[in-house]
Amino acid sequence: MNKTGKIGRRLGGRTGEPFTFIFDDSTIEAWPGESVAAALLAAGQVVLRIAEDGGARGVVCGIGLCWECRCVIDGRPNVRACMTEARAGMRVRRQQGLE
Amino acid sequence: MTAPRIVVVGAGPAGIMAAREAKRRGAAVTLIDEALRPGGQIYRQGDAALASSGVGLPEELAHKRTVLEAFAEVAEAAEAVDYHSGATAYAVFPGPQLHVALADSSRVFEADALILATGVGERAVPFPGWTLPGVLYAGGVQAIMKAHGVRAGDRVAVVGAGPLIIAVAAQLAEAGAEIACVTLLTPLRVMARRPLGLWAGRGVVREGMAYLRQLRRAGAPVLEGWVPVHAEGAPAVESLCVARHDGAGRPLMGSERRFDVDMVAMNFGFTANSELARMAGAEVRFDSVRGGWVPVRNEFGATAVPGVFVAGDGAALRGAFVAAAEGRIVGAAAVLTAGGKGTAELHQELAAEFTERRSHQAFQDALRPTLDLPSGVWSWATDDTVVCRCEGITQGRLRQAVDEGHVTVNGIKRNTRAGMGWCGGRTCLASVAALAAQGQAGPPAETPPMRPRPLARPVPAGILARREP
Amino acid sequence: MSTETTDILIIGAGAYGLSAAWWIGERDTGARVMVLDAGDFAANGTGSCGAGVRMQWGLELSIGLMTESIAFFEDAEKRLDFPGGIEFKQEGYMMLARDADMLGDFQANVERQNALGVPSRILSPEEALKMVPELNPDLLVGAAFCPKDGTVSPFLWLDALLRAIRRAGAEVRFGTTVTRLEQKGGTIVAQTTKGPVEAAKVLVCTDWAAPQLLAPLGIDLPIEAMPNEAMVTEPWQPVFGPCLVRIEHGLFINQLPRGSIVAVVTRELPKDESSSNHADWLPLGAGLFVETLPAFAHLNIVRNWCHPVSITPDMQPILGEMAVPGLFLAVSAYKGFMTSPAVGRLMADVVLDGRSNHPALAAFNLKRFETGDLIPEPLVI
Repeated sequence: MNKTGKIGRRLGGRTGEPFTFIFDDSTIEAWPGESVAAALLAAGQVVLRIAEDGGARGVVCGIGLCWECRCVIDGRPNVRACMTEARAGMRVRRQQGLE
Repeated sequence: MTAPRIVVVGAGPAGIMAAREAKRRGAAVTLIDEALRPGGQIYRQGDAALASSGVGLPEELAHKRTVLEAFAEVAEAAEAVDYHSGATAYAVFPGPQLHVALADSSRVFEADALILATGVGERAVPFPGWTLPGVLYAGGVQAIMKAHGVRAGDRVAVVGAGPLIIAVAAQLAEAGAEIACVTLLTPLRVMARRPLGLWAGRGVVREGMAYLRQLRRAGAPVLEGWVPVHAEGAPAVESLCVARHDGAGRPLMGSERRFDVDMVAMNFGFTANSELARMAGAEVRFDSVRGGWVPVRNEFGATAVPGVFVAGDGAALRGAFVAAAEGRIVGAAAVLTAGGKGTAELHQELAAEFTERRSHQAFQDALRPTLDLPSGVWSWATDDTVVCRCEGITQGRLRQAVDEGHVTVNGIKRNTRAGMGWCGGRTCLASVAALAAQGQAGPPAETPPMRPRPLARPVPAGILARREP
Repeated sequence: MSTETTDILIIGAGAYGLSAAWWIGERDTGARVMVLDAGDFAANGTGSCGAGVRMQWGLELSIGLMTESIAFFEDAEKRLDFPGGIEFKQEGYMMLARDADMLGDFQANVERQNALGVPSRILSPEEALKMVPELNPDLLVGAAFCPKDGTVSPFLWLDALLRAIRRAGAEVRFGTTVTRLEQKGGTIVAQTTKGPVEAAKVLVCTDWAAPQLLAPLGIDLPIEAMPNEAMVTEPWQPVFGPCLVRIEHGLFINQLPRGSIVAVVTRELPKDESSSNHADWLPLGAGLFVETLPAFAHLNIVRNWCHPVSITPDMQPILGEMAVPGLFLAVSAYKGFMTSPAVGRLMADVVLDGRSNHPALAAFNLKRFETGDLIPEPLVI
């Protein structure tokens, strides 16, 4: 499969087959080569974490420097969504404070 | 004579060109890069599966090709550069030796010359609501477009200072986003005060004009002399209020306009990734526009620490064209110096690179007033605005520390824990420095940062524990 | 520059200096107190320490200082009027015994400690693993444990003291270096980078840096500096209570209430005053950390720092008045943070009254290094 046109928030240029992973209770579609953060943003999911002060947080720097997008990926907390490649069947969860 | 060992950190334009130049001059070159693919932040590449995401204008994309071809040359050579992607350089010790975290272990690279081409990160200026999901750095938004082919929002405000704002807004519009508004702290026309500088950077100026036309066609309001006041929404951003400012960066009440948005992209300049150079013992000087605390070095990129060189934006923010030219100069100088030779002949050998760097410096001087942050920007945060995101420290807590007599960055840091988290203070220490300066009634240049400690980036304990012999 | 005057000048705004200032204020004598520090807040030993506080020592004198100090830490939020408290996590120190010989030594220590009122006890490996399930079971045949020990935030401790003494009227200045002390009639003049200060009494609390101030006055101190290095992980959910000690490696591990885990490794290094990190430390520190708590190998290390600590021939403090009248000294021998509540009290007494009936004062005098009456502490980590 080779998509070149824009699909929603995706700019096009996809090769390979889309797959899904789990984010809390939702199923998120992703394409090969996308980070977890990019796939979540493409799906309109921007709240990745609830900070200790109760405030919602999401992606900020997009390049692994600020650590704001840390969430729980396959059971491990403090994993940066922007630096983690999306994989089929992966389980991603919003991090609640310190986990 | 054995080939000098040159270790380069960063595979952006400066690092790649430095590696190629050193390789061509017979050095044994190691190239360490944090990303999975070469290009740096500016020429960030997506996975091969996302190959067609060419974000940018023709001149920029042509330069990107040149840099990536240089990478291919050294990566595919018979005695290829020893290239480590996904590798984190976390410390420098005397030698110089570079400590690097690889996928499963850590390793020490001994060097005859170390070239630090570590680039810049975005500088944050906190304002109320800036921690809401959907408020991102503009460079980050661009990186997600370039590397992942995704735009992070549908209806967007792009706010900040300098030309990156225009580029990102235009690229978002091109990607199909609706641009609710674009705000610039300082009108771009202030550049016209230095016409010769503008002429020197005419290629970039042309691109900027093209981006502006694109925004105009898209019907996006470009508000010059405006600043963000607050973002609102629950749980994510739903609106952004902006206002005209008083010339010193403080919003003028009564001038506010509110825009419904689902994403805010912000950029207020850049901070040099100078941790490794400072860890090596390089002296620093303060240049608010070119990256804050930047390493002091000579025209060949050499710091006063033997064997430690710095190239590209990490030495002083000047853009990809200068970085590539400077990479060649520094790569050549590092090899000559390591071989005990003089570097004077480089003025002739690399005349084009020296010229490129000089002329672009003139353009950067023209650009400077668009990027200068007046002191009033540091008063945008209110007492309940979280400034240090990692530790959850508010502006009010920081102000309290200053009121109690803690007027140095490190004193405030230990008193409040601001800057002690994952990001190493990258996000908040510019704000802390501004508050410290207010507390001392002096400019931030008077409070040089302490020599930084390892680690320049967080590294898992298990990887540090497994050091390769 | 005109000379400022004060009644009592304290040099060094670390745990000893600020605690002494607080206790002097408590005595309510009306004496004016000024504290000068060369650095900024928490810039030296206290701000760099591992944050542990323990009663499990080998000598009665050490145990006495720590029994008093821990009682004060328990009550510090109220006594210093510091809402939110100093993050005293009192969940014990667990000293791991790697073999039967070491366990035997620990058993003897525990008996001596129990006789002095310290509620320490020996744990079986099963009991230890129940408290810290992540602990590598191969590393211990048993452990010594005291539930009264724990960890206090050095930053909050200093902040609590600083605010309290300022409320009481003391003048505390950072960024002011005392370069020289001079006798002048019955007073002492401190030459500083911000002008001279004259005081009737001067208390030097600069720890390993004290010799350089006292040597010009003819006072030789057998104090050396030794670099000591530590690291801290990213914050993690609070998972284990006790501080962990592997005495044979000089290893101390401690999870702060905030969730970060601190690891300190104290090792024999050439004596010097440098605070430069060592290129071989992270593999050592991280290696011991991962060996001790293998389940936490994935935790990110965010910072690694090094700072000198004070070394004395018997690793015990030096406390009291010097040969120069009005000049007092308090040097910690690498336990200034944890002993600061008690040492601050006794130093306040000595400075104000010229004497204290505290047994530590008589024992930890400077003369012992001439007479050879050293008091070696067996349980130094």
